Amino acid sequence: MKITFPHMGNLYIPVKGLLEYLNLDVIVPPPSSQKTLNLGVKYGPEFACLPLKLNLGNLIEAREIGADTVIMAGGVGPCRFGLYSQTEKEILNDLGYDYDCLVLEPPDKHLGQFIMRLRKIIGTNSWWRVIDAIKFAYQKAYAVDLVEKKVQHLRPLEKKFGTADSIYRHVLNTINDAQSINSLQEATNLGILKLEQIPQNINSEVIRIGLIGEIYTLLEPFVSFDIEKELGKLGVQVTRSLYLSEWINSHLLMNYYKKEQSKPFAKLAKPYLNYFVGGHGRETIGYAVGFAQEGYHGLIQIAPLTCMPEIIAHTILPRVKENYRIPILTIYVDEQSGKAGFLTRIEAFIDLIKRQQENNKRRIVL
Amino acid sequence: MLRVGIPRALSYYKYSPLWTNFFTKLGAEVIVSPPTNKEMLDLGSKYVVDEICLPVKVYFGHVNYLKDKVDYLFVPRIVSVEKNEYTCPKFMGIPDMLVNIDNLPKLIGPTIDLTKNDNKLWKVVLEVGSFFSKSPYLILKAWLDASIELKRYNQDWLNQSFPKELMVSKIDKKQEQEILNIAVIGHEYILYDKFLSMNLLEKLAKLNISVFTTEMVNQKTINKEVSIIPKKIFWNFAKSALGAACYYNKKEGILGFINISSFGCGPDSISNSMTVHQLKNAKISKPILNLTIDEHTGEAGINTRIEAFYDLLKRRVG
Repeated sequence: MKITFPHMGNLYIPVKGLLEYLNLDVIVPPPSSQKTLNLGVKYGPEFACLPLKLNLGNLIEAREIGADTVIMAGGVGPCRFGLYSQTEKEILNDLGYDYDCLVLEPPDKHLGQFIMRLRKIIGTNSWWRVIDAIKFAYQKAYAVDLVEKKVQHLRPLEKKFGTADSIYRHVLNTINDAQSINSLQEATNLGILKLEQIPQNINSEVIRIGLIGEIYTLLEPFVSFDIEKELGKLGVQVTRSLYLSEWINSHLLMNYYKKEQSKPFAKLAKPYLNYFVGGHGRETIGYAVGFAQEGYHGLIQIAPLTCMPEIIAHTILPRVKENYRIPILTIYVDEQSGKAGFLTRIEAFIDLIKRQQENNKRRIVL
Repeated sequence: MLRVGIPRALSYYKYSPLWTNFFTKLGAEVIVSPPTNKEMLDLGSKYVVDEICLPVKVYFGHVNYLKDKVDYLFVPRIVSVEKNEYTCPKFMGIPDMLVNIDNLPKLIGPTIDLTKNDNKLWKVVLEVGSFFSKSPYLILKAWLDASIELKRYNQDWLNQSFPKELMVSKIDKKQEQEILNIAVIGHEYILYDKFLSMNLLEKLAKLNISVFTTEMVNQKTINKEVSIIPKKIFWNFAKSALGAACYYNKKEGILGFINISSFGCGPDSISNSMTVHQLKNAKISKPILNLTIDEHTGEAGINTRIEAFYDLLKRRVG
């Protein structure tokens, strides 16, 4: 049994950690690339959103290198993501790829059946070992986020652009390779230490941007054209509304780890959006308000084209923009997106914010 | 007399007798916006983002038409009408999105969420009724009377005909010419909106095609048909569409399918793919025509495709 799973940014690190801790055979699909996307577009439903197409591409590519079992997250609506597993299974089946599927979701029919299928995957491991493995995976996700936040902070400050990113890539590899809590801690601490020694421009002024939107497009650099890096080049410090470990903690572990609390987005989203709309729609509005209250200079919303919850958030965001006088840019991505057009838009947006800041300063001096 | 406006769009086509009768019986004057036209679409598009689907743009057009003519606007947030099933996220955000329109009258925007507990519907009924009457008895009575009207409306569909309110012409079966039977799968707010569907049903009637729709299949059959899929389809509409398609595929005499949906429809993007998968792997496979509409759709192109599909069906019959 060779287990694989679809990509979403750095998600492969904790998932691989989890499965290897249980001594299972893991095949990480090749990183999402144009080839992955082409495969997904070729076989996926035309009007489905981008993550489905990429997931499909990942699974086809993993199949080619020998995977035969898939682990996926699921859902019970109303976002399309909940039906990804079923749709992908059907498409793969039509293509002649027989995958064994384990979907992690709140079971709506038989709890017993779910446990039996889980048992089939985990083999002879005891439940205690499974719990330990989940804890270890969470620690990995947390370590990745710790390092990533540091990199986001450093990108606009470093003297030679790209230093932080090259260290970041290296640290991700060492975290990925860590086999125990101790070696994980060591890798993380060493990474942070290295990052802290990067030469920085002391007096440079940074612009702070909040990145909001749909989880996949926020976490997967391939679909967002590495937006965080590109913004870093323009002297922007980026904070996302969503980090992997926070999401794992609040959605999968029921806030077991108390050390980090995500913003009370549902409360912040009122009165703009008073009800949940599936996916991350309410989070988007809530965090937009939260970032605006914290004095961020601008917001960028990023989502897959035709994403239903994000479209609702997009329709409502102008109200937030008016009330807090904060510039907001919305970017939709799909298989037709081009990097040059994308870069032009974020450059223009950052120029606009810079000019606004200068005007504000002049006004204060006068 | 208080005037209540109901936009003739989205869930109106499913619940119109319920809503109009409920408000009329409580002594309100109900004003329903006229059938969709180009001007409504243009005005509606101004208040929403480009990416949203055509039916929602049209909904905004209807609200815009009604806003100066009524005291209250009935714009419910329909989250779910059945246990563990949802409508569409866009239905769930409607009242919050409407604030983009200036000078709105007072909104009656109750939240209808039956995912967990079925009894909550009474609270919603009383909440809406309290705008017009203080007596819970009168409100509940109006509700029950209106429910009977809705039942009759739905029964028309189950009798394999169209409710008279929708003004769809039905083929007279006694005619001597040959009649082709096809199933048309699509949201009722597209299919019965003559502007959005570009009069698809009338066009088919002219070609002597007898149409069978999703609403003509009862819930029990639909639930039975979709039970073969291991994963629960959590969208109400998508479930019905998929179930009806599977049912019509087995039913003798149905020659083919027309699938009509709007560009960017989330549930349809998945349910269409699942429908195609189910039909392709069934014993008998019938031809499917997929029509996607948006504000740029040209009527001539649609006509050509319908005619070509008609010719194909004719040839298959022989």
